[in-house]
Amino acid sequence: MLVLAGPGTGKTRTLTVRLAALLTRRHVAPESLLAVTFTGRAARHVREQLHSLVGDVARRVVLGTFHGFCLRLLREEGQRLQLPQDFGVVDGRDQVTIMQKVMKHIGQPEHRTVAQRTLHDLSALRSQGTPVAASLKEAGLSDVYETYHRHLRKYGLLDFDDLLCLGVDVLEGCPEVRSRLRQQLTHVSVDEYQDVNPVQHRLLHLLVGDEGNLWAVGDGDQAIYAFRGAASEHLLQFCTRYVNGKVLRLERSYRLPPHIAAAASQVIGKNPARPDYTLKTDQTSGAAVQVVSVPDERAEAEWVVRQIEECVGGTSHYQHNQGKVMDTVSRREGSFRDFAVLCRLHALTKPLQEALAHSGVPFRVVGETRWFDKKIVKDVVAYLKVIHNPHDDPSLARVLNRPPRGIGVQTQTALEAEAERRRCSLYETLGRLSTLSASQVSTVRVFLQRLEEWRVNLEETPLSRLLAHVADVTGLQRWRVEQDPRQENDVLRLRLLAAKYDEMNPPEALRQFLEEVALAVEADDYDADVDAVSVMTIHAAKGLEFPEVMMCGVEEGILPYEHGDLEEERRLFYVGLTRTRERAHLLHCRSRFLFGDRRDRAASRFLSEFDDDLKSPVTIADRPRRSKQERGPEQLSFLS
Amino acid sequence: MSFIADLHVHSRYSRAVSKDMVPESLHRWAQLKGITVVGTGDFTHPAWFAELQDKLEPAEPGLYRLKPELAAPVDAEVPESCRADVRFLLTSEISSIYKRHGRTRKVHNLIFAPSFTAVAHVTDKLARIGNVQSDGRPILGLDSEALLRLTLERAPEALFVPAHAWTPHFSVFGANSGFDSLEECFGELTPHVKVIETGLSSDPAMNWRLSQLAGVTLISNSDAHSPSKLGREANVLNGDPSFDGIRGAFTSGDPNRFLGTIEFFPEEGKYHYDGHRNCQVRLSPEETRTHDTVCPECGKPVTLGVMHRTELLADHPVGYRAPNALPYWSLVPLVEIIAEVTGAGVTSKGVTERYHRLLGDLGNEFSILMTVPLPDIEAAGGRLLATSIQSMRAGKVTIAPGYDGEYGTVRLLTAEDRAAHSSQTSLF
Repeated sequence: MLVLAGPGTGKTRTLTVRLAALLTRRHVAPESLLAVTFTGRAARHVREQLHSLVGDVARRVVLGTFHGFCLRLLREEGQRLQLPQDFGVVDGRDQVTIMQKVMKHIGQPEHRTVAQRTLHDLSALRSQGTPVAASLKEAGLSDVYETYHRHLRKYGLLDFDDLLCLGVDVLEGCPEVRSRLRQQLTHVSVDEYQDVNPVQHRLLHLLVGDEGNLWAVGDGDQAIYAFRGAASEHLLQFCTRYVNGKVLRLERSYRLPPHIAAAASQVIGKNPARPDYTLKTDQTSGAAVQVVSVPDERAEAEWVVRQIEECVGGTSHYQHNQGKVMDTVSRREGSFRDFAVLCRLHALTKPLQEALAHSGVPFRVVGETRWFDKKIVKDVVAYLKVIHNPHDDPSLARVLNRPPRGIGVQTQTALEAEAERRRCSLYETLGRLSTLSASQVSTVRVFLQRLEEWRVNLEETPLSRLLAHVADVTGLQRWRVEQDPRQENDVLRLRLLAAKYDEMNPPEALRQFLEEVALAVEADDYDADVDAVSVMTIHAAKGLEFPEVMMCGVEEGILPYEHGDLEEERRLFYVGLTRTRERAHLLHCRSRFLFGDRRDRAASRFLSEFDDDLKSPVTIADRPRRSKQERGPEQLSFLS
Repeated sequence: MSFIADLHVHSRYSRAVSKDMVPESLHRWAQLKGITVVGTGDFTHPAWFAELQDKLEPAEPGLYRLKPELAAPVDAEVPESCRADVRFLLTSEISSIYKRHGRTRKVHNLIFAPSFTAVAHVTDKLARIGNVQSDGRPILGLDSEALLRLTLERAPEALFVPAHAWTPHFSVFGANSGFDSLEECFGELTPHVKVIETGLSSDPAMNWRLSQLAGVTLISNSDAHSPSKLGREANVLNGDPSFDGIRGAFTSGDPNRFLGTIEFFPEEGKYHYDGHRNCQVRLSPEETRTHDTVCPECGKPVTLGVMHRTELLADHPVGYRAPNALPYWSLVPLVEIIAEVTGAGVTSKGVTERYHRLLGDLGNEFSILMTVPLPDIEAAGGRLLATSIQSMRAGKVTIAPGYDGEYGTVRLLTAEDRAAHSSQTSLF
């Protein structure tokens, strides 16, 4: 059964209610239910909903992502493929580092972006679910692929594509595993079916067979992951793939206000190849789609901040005293979590982040580098780790030339080789290498002296003072802050984190501090109950909904993206717009600075693909050019 | 020993705050004002936290002092008549903006903490929830009850105090985004709210009229955004200064330990009356009701002030005195008195000079306003100044109440006072 369901029609709800019905009415054993979602977040959401319907039995349902499912499968059956018992899964960041090594190894440029692109290309090929050897050769990637995998194997690691491909291998090559799973998992459900890629389809097919009990829900209009190898054609071919396949449609949206449903339908209707499907809405009243034309990205960001501030009725006495907000007039009983700011490209969020940070409005950037992964944070922590344990080679290697001390990559490699030869730590080889130049010898001596001082004085120095001292006297802070002044804040925050332990005996404080940092890398940096404005890409917003959506950069070249596929870009616009529960604001700049270059911008064609009576246009005039004497208080004029 | 504490101030890291709000200035102005314990404000701001850690050193338990090498040059500039020990207490204000019971709520709360470690525990958590770096008084989408819970968990010794409890836009009882009761705001944690700050626009007598505040101690602080505004309101305590001592005096409300508060005349506060500032319309609660709470000039809703709000929530009659009532002294800042006497602007050079001369002659500002004998004041500052201070001490003032963000204006001198003065001077 395939359920075609539009935005806000209750896809996830339908999935959950069906699972509940299977458990309670058909008395299917919970272990026989497999539900696959697109993200871990969605899986948690389904489990919570299910728990509220059926109680604790929800915990026993097999629920997760494709990757999660395969990981479990390989932990149980991996020995059939001669996988090591305790294989690890490489994360994206390490994957890039490994790929850089690989490219160096085979004499190719090892630049980070090149490595990222290569990984992306490899992944695209492998997710096709067909034998890769030929296509790799064609793409000239055979060497890279071989070496990359040799490296992964050496470290006992699998990457995300390995999980899927090896999962398929197990099911394909081991009939006994396949039939056991088919017997156990009698009911398989899949969420976001439109974004299932070929190798995942293959996996599903192996799991359920031609006649198996597969129940999928999806929306072809929301397929936005073609770049990962998903293809919405599968949706259209569902009935030919599965015997007795049926298609059901959910066309009534509970979320969308009428203007937004109509605008979204009109735009997506311009896509030629799409499922036979129309979107209707239950709601009868609502605001028109606001289309906001602003002079540039700064004005765009200001407009967004102001909109949020007005909705909560001002955020400071200062604003009230300046007459900037009328608490009683404009506000809508909103809170910060009601707002999502969506962008086609992550790069567009920069000016928005700056304006939000400046205003003090709490916000979070979904998918941003975690704080503990920031360079300066890792640097400072590495110094502390070395103080805690000088034989911590990776940490010592990290700080040896940060800030630059004239110990280049070559010297460092030589030192590491020497350490390996002598079977001792990097710390023990430091300064003993005969090839070091005179200046390097003295640099290393200073470095070792400092380290010794810190270690000797550790007992008497409160941790926060030690941390501040290290960041300062090494020149690390100055060096990083010169690259990016915002890093100053990161040192301050680290110092604050350390101050929690100041009342302990310092060596113990250091130990506990490092433990907290280590665990924090695993845990989510943000609390779940954070009430903040969400800033994210449209891709990341999939499956979410917000009372107010502000889509920025709705401009030709950005949405649709100049390097994208027009139909997929249109689907992205559709996904973005249909995240809205109450109000949508679509912003476009007339001029924008992006990727190092300021250009005039035209409004996106998508904005003219829906009727004018669904829109309420707002134009913010250009900043008047005024001489300094004339410059009065900044004012924006609203014309419509 | 009795001493004065002003615990709600802001640092230069907060919005719309003087760049001069640094530890050295607080140390100097606390002496000029006669404040023994001054709040640091803004302890959640990482840069301010680091500055405080660098510049302060531990003094009595839970209190800090400016390091001697930093204090010495500052003390040299303080007239000998005012020189005194100053202690810092770690404080901060959090702006919570969130939805509760279907409405947007905006409440400011104060946290007083006994140590840098306690501060670090609280701030580390807040930094994960929101942005503590862009404003010394951070805005968080955090429910006040959740903030209180977090404080109790992270720093059990800290004291949590709803700030300026009545201002319309940002307070627990505020007309625009507050609550009708502490329970509504703090839920099951309400018993942990033992102290509230009354704010400039309300005085203890207005608060006594609420039976729900029967067990709650009322404190007062300046909320100063520049050093000279320190001590506009403050607390008079008894005993040796320490964090626990102050906390205990506040939470117990024991009249032997907490002697009372120093207050603005509430009418002088920015939100005492109702009104609409853009149209310069000032309304009493009575008048607001006859105009259906809209501005008679432009028809937009008026901002309801503190007096209106207390009337709505009060269940005791005007003049009711709560059993746990503490004394309070209503004062007018000395510069305003000098300005009225001389007819010059409050910030004018002449007024500033006279202010500092008086301090040099008579001692710190609180002593001049509260205890220095009138003949001494007359000798140092003239007859009119003495008359003004006499009127203020007797509560004989004429005030045009503040409204919708506009300060009220106070008059201490009557035409007769001036006439008497000029006839007298003409004799000489």
